Amino acid sequence: MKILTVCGNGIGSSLMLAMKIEEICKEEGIQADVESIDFNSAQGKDVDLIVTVKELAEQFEHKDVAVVRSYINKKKIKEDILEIIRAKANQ
Amino acid sequence: MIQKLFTDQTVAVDIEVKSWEEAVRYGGAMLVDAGNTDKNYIDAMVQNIQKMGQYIVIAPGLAMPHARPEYGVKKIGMSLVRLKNPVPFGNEEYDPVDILIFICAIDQTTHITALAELMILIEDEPFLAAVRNGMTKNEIISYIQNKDFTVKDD
Repeated sequence: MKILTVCGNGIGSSLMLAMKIEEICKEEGIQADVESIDFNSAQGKDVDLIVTVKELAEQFEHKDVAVVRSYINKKKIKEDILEIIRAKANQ
Repeated sequence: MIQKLFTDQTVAVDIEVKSWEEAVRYGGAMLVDAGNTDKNYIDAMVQNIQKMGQYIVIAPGLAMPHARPEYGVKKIGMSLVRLKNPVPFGNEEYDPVDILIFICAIDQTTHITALAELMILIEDEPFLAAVRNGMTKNEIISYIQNKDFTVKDD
């Protein structure tokens, strides 16, 4: 599955989030291709799941947006999106 | 590699500011003075926060201002500023901010390494607590220089 992590620039927070999600997927044995990207470029992308924070999620019309409370706290990220990723991976 | 980025020129403590913008401009100016980027980068960081919001406050009291490389970045750099008095960024969860770590990146590969190492540093809670409890500028620099940033691949 393809996951995009999004922040304003695609090079700071979203890159940290992408690294955390990669770690989580690896630990959970989920095959995922995780890429970080800036908000504007993310709009037209065709992916399985977009992951971002609340402020930015509200601005997406894409239907598959998952919200994390933190870009760096692995425990919170896991709580917020692991089930969503698992569900997607099993589709 | 980030050991080399935090130096006498890029670490500052007990800086007094009245607003988040002043704090961002202060840390940005350090990167300009250290030769890492052009002045454009400072405006780009401020605009990024104005436009995209406060998500750069990534942990309690900790902000990570940055902008895209095309706004005048010359070489990879980071700077650390500890504020004398915390300022709000408008982030409900993690305000107010007293530690700012600035990043300017030039290319994706070196940037990923630097960012992975930075993540190790900001997850070092005893370090952040010590910074807040009055670590001096030299202590901060030497702590970072002596820290092991080997990324554990387990």
